[in-house]
Amino acid sequence: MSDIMLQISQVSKAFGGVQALDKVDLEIRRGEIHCLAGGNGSGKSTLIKIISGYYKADSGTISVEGHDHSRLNPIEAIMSGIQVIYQDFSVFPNLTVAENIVMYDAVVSKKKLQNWKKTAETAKDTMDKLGIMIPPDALVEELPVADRQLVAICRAMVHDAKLIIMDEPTTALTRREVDKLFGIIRKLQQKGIAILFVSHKLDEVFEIADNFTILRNGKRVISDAASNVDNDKFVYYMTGRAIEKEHFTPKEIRKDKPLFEVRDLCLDKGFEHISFQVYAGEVLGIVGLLGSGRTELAESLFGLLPATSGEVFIDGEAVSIRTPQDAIKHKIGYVPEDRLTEGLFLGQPIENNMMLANIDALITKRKTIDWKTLHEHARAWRDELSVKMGDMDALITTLSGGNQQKIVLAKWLEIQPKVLILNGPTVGVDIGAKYDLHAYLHRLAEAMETAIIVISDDIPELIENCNRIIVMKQGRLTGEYSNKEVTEQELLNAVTAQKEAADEE
Amino acid sequence: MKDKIVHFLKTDSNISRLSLLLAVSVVALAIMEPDIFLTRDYMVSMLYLFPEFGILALGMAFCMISGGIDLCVVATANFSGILACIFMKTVLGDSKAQGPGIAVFCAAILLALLIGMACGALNGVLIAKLGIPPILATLGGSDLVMGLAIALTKGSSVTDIPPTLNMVGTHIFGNLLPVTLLVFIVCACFAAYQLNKTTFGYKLYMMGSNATASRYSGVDNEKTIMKTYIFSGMLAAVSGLLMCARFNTARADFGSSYTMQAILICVLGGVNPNGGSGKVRGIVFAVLILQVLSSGLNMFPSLSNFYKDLIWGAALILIIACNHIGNRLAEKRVTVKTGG
Amino acid sequence: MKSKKLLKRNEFYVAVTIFLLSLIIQLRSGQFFTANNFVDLARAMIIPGMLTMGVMMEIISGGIDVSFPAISMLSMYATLELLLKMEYEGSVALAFLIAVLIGLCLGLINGALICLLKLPAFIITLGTSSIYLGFMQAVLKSHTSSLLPGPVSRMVKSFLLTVTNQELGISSSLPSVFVFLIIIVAFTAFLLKYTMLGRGIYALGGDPVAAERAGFHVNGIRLFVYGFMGALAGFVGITRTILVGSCQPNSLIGYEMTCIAAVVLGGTRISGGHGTVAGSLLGALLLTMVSNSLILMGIPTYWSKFVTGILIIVGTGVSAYQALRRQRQLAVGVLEDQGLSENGGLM
Repeated sequence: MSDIMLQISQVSKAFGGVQALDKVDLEIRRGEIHCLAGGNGSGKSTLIKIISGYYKADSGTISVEGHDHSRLNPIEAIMSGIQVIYQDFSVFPNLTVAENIVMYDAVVSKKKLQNWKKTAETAKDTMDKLGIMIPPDALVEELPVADRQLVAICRAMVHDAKLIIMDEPTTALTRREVDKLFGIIRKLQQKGIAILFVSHKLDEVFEIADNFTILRNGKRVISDAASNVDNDKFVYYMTGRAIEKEHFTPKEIRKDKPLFEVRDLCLDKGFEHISFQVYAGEVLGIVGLLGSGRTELAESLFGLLPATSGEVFIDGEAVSIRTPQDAIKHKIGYVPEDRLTEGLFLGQPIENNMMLANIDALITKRKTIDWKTLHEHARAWRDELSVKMGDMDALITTLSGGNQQKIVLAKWLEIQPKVLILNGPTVGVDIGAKYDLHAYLHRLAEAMETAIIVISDDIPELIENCNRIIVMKQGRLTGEYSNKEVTEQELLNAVTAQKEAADEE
Repeated sequence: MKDKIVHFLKTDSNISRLSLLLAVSVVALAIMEPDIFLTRDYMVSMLYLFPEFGILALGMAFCMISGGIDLCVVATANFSGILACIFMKTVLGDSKAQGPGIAVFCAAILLALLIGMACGALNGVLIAKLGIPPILATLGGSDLVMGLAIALTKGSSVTDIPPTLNMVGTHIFGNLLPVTLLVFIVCACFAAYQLNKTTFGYKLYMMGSNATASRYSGVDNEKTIMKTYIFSGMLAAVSGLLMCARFNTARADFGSSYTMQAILICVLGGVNPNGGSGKVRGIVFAVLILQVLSSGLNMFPSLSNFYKDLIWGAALILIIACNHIGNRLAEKRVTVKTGG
Repeated sequence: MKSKKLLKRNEFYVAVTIFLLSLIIQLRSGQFFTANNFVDLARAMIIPGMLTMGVMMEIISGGIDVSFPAISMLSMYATLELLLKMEYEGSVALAFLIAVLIGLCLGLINGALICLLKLPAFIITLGTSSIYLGFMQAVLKSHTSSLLPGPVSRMVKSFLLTVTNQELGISSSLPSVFVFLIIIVAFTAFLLKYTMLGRGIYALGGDPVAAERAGFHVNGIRLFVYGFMGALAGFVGITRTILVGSCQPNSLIGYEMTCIAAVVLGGTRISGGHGTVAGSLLGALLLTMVSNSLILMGIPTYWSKFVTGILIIVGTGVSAYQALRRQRQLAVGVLEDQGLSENGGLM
């Protein structure tokens, strides 16, 4: 038997004239951890769907353990040992841990009856093998996110998996949980199971992967050992251009009185004793991992999760923000983290998406909507942010991710914000639009009328765009850095350091 | 002008389908039974009847645009009708005086509207403040309100209502324009004004499209939901008054099939049952079509009235199917164009 | 740990409510804990008990159905007409069989439309309900009649047991069709708990996308669920005729809401994925008791609708409000994060 688990050669796939995959090769050996990286639209997800049998390749060959499977279907893929763990895990929230673990196997083996005793035994065996302890009769909806993922991994293991594909498994995990996950992945590796690990986080690739493959625009750019690549090369392969490090430096900062100030803000279970100031002309970065309380802080400043105690000042005046309506009244705008569910109205035209936040101000003397002004403003923002779009009445779904994000930004610029909070502003945004968004933020800061706060875990982005960065960890602020004096590595250490220390205790 | 109409029909495929359906049914009836259909009396009788459920449908449309549904409209209509009638009876007693009669009549109408709004507010609280899914909240609300109405009337009718209500409600101006139609026009204009001209309407569409995103955009969802159901309750009360006027009695179980008809009209009129879209003109077209069809049925005495149910149900499924196929084709065209 | 779980369950609270209600009825009338009342309750439970099984299955799968009363009445009426025309005198089983087959077809039509059109099942079944009812009333020209086919009318007088209250001289009888209720409940319970099809229904209600990825035939499950409801409704149609002793083609109009209310009261989540046979039966029992026992309590029957409304609102409101509160607070606290994740993870 050959050592090669999966061999993909010259696979192409097109959708309605657009080449999603163009003669891609991929080779994964038994027990190998292989990282697949690439930006949005690089063809990553298409490739995964072809390997798991959901799409049929237009041309090329796929062989699993030497058997040709060019017409793979989902059941065959599972039968030959390929398992996918989706980003949302695809576990059933309403069923128990044990049943979830056994479910795939039961369906594939065409069982008619459910044997509860055997279910419990199989689930326990599988969890024991990986050293996972989750109560088997707990409902999955009661579990924290990290445990749900472990359930999905166990489920993949039950059916004798030989290749497990993990689609961005770390996005929803805290650093500590990522470590646990990596521990499990190494255990799987020792059992001879190959892992295809989809991620575009460089540090993870270095940490866990043996080899990596990068896709861009449907083509394979490179496959190599993880030890042969460094940061700059990786970014170059991902984006196709060398990064020019440009650090935002404010032209002037008016230090007389902070435009926005938070004093000793606390939220039950969320964060405690948060204090910081933002001056006119500044872009403040708040860096923290998922679960550090960064999103809770942002939502609290915007009134979605009213703070339990503490004070907020705008222009030196204390303001009370208990609801998003209060926030808008005090000219606070919030570009949310999850664009699709929190920012966009998918069934609505572009213009409606753009004007909602300020709609109460766009009225005539007779309390009716001032459509004329509204149309004018919408067109002005389209030009100002150079949104690539057709008709204002077209649905928002016709725009690309980057242009959609510009529309969300325009929604908040329309209220003429004094404070603009952006949470993960360039997630899922293509390079061109990312550049536009950053450039606009710089211009906005230079107009000296808005306090800008960027919240993110994308350290290079923060260093590039924020003149001051504060670190958030376990609900507290733990440090402050200037972007000219801090390196990416230092900031990364600052974000993760204390957590690791806590783990060792 | 012609270009405008063509553009309008092109942009709103549902409306064009509906107007075609309306035209076809009118022409068909006019050809089949010209002696009956084309008379003025017949036309007037059609216009006289539909406002009762047409107005309910307007309120229902608001709830469906918000992403919910209001199963309580009929109960609210009957309850407010009953209370208004009891009020008039009690205050006026047996006196047939005309002077105070008008004032009491106006007060009764106001009372009915307030009761309707209160019922709507009850549903709004259950949905917005308690988080009960709209189907269940308005189902419970309906049982509650109808239960009160039954308990109040002990399950029988309120009769011997002062004649003003019946006189006003069944009046036909110049033998051409029924009061009921006038009331419907006023309600439809008011609804269209709310949807197209006010920030409430704007927020309603957005909330129905994505309630989380609207909260993140500073919309007070709770307030918007409250307003929506209060509006629906108020329109239900108007409809209830019209029913009482026509029957000259008030009962807890009038119009039991109207809930279904109102939902049908909304879906037929292009309101998305998942929320976020729908237009008053669609509702108006849908109401007219249904009225023409059911009046048409009445012209064939050999067919029983029950065929209406059959035809309405079939129309609903058919229109849904047409919309679905239309959307699928449109989607296909878009995917081919963008290749996504 | 066990008692804590019990306190979280809706069934528990419904059971407590039923117990308290029965105590109140007993105190006010002295008639609750009597053999007569129990037999009457059991008899009254037959129809709602059967129907809630199907409704529950649909709601668990993430759907809903308002057309089953129409299916029930149409298949009952069509079957009886057919048997009368045939002057059939054989076994009553044929009546059940025909009605079940008609119901099955109508239910499958619902299921197929729901799979194809991808619109809320509520709207679709509202439409088909109107069609089925219209078909029965208009095309079949349905009307109430006491003329039943021989085998069916013989079933009317078939009882399992009869109890007589010596003091009042009233006797209550439990019809034989009660056996069918037990069979149907047992079948549903087994199906949902011990077959992969049943687990698929839960999986579908929990997350349709995940169910499809797991390899379930999602549309097949949907067809089964609506087909089952249809067949069950057909069966109930004949059963009801046997219970009331005459053919009443309009008697179930409006009954869909009562059944949905019973199922939801019993802890089935309207959004799908959760629900138990025991809960639904308890919910049905509670509503049956309310409508049956108000007279025993000296409350005029016209309050029963009001009481049902209160029950629905309170029954759904408590859990909905808790869910809303959870949603508005932090789901998993950042500050407590470490404590929480100790439960799982590595050994």
